[in-house]
Amino acid sequence: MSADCVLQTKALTKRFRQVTALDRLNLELHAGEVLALLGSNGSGKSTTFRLLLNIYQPTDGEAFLLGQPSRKLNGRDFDKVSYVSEGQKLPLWMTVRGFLDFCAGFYQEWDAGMCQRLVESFGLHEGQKLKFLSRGQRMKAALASVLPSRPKILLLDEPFSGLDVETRAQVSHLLRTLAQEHSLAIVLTTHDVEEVEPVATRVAILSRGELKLDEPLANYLGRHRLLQLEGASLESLPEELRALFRPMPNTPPPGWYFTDRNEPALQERLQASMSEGARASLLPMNLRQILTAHSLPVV
Amino acid sequence: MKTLLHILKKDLRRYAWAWGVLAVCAVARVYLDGTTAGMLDNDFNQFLSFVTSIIGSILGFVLVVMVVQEESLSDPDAYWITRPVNRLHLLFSKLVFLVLVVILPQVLADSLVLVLNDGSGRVGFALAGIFPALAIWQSQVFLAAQTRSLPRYLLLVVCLVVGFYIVLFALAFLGTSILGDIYDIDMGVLPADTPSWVTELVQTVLWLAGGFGILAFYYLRRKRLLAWLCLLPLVLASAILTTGGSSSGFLPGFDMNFESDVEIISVRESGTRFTPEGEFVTYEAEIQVPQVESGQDVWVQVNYMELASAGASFHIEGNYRSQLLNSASLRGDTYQLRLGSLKKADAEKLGDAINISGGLEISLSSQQPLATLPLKEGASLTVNGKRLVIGSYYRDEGNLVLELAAIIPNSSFEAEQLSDPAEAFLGQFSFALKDKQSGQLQIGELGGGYDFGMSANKITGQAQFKLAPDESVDAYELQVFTRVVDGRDWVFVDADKVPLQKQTR
Repeated sequence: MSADCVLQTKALTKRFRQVTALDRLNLELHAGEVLALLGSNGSGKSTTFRLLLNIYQPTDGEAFLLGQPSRKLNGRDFDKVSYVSEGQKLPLWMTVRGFLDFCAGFYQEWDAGMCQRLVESFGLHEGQKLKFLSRGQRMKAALASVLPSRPKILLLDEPFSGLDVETRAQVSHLLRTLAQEHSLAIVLTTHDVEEVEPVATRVAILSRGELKLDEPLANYLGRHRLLQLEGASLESLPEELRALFRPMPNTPPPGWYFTDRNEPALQERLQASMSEGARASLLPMNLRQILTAHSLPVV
Repeated sequence: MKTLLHILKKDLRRYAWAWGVLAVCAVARVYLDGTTAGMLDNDFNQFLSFVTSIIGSILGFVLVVMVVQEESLSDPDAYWITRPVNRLHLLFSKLVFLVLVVILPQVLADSLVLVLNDGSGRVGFALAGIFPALAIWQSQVFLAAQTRSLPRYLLLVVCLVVGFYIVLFALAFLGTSILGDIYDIDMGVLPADTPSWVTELVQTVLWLAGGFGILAFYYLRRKRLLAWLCLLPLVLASAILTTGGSSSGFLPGFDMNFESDVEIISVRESGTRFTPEGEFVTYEAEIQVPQVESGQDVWVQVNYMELASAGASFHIEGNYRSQLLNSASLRGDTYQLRLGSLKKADAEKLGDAINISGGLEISLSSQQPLATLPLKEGASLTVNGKRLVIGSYYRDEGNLVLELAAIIPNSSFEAEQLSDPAEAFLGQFSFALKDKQSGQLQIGELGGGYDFGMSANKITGQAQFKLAPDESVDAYELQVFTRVVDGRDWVFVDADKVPLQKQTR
């Protein structure tokens, strides 16, 4: 494990009776990285978080946070490990200010200035009780209750859920800044894949408890391209090029193909194989298109 | 420590209203039990007593559950679970809250009641009541910590109670062949003459330390099954650390420390009573109680009695009053016992020898004069933390009946005389009607009991004396005795061909 590795799992497994919720998960995360952990409902994302945070005990394998086995994570360890989830049960009888002050009392380090800035930028009313806040506002309050503690690793379960477009962009920007400027490592799960691209540096995909992908996001986006053919068909391409492309599922009009093996010379090779008047273009794909292309049940 | 105070302050602020209500209940308790106010028939005081006792007990119970569930251990989505909160400090903060808000007001109220009732010397024992109370309340914390809401907690409690009875019945019916009668299993290792306060101290320390250990384990590890399994050695240790030779085996029960061998020698018709229902014949029996020591009084309560002869049997209803028996012979072990009465028509059907069977409660005790009280409503005395008040009196068929109320605190770890909830005034008072001129005493029958006063609560009862309708109450006063019960037993008597001496008509 390298010096800046803040999170590591080794064959981490969790079974609930007959159901394997997580199957031999191997992950590593370094300071400053933002990992988007994607997967459909029940794929094991929340279970992974709970195992990392010592809420659940693994059936097999192990996990480490900040070099500490997650099984021993307790008390003071959470000074530098923070977690916010969509369904987090907040003390709804408290006011926003009361809640933030109460949480501040637990941490050894607390940036009151940052807390105040977050409250103001999130547009939270300090005197309002949490029970009167919308889901999105509660998420903002929850974020404001952990970020001022300057954690080294932040686990976010559906942080964009219930947030309006403006606040999503705000939160994305904030997370990116914290990761880049303060070397904060972040793991986030979301179904809002549009929010992943601006903030994530890596993407991992879980399906039925198995890790299907773990790759730097730029790499993942870079090796996927959409093929647009004008005056030609896929069948007219040479065999070795044709094998690189697959049709886009469920995407009208037909005649759209994609590849996950893009390379710098591919555009030239394609154009060279075209007959006169025909044109092949390789277009960049966003994450949503890629996941759709692979029929990954994430979005 | 910082975390402990941080959470405690939050809980105290959150439940300030409940703390206030419980404090008011405690103050009301001092007012009701520390003065004669709560012991006299008064609508306001009765309402206050009812409301504060109901609110106090329910609110205390609900409050503990809610406070523990504020930082639920069983909810993986609880906001605090991934905060830098030391779990042991969290547990301590909940226990301190429990002591400060639920237990301490009650204990302070008990202490103040003792002071107001001339029992200052017993205040230390009342304050020590914090420890057994905490040991008991820890079980609430344990159950509450495993549930997320009050309904779930109640469901768990119901399941546990039902499960407990299923196990108990299974043991009683199925386990008998393997274990024998579980009521006969005697696991206690403490000497039989160990004072009850020592046993209570040992049990309190055991449950306080063991209970806290299990709670701490659960808070740190959240392994529910293991925590429950840890209870087994604790229960076993608790059963072992009791006195040996207990008649109730390892199951809880009232220890009848005296086994009497009562025999009915003869029965006689003692008189006639006229009531609106007709003419009744009263009966007395001569009974033998061999185990009585010199100086001991024998008190008997007739619960029921059946007289039978020549195929006919008649049922005498007991009056549920204890009577002090008069010695009937020079040997001193036979006594006259008033059985009750039968309709004259039934009485005439009985022959000269009858079969008699019935149930008696018998107790051996001694008594010492304490004080005299004027026979008027509201007259009271206080002694060593106890308070006794004459509530009212009335006359009935040649009897004078006094309605009495008493506060008899029962603090932990006190070396006190045997008290039994089945005895009137927990067996701690007896009364005589004293002729002001001659000083002659007539010991009264005692009624009441089964009040289950666990601490300073009102206990009511009656004392009944013979007083002819033409005699004035003003010629008498009430002599109060402190009574010490040495032993009790429930007896079933069954004798055939007992001679019946009929009165000459």
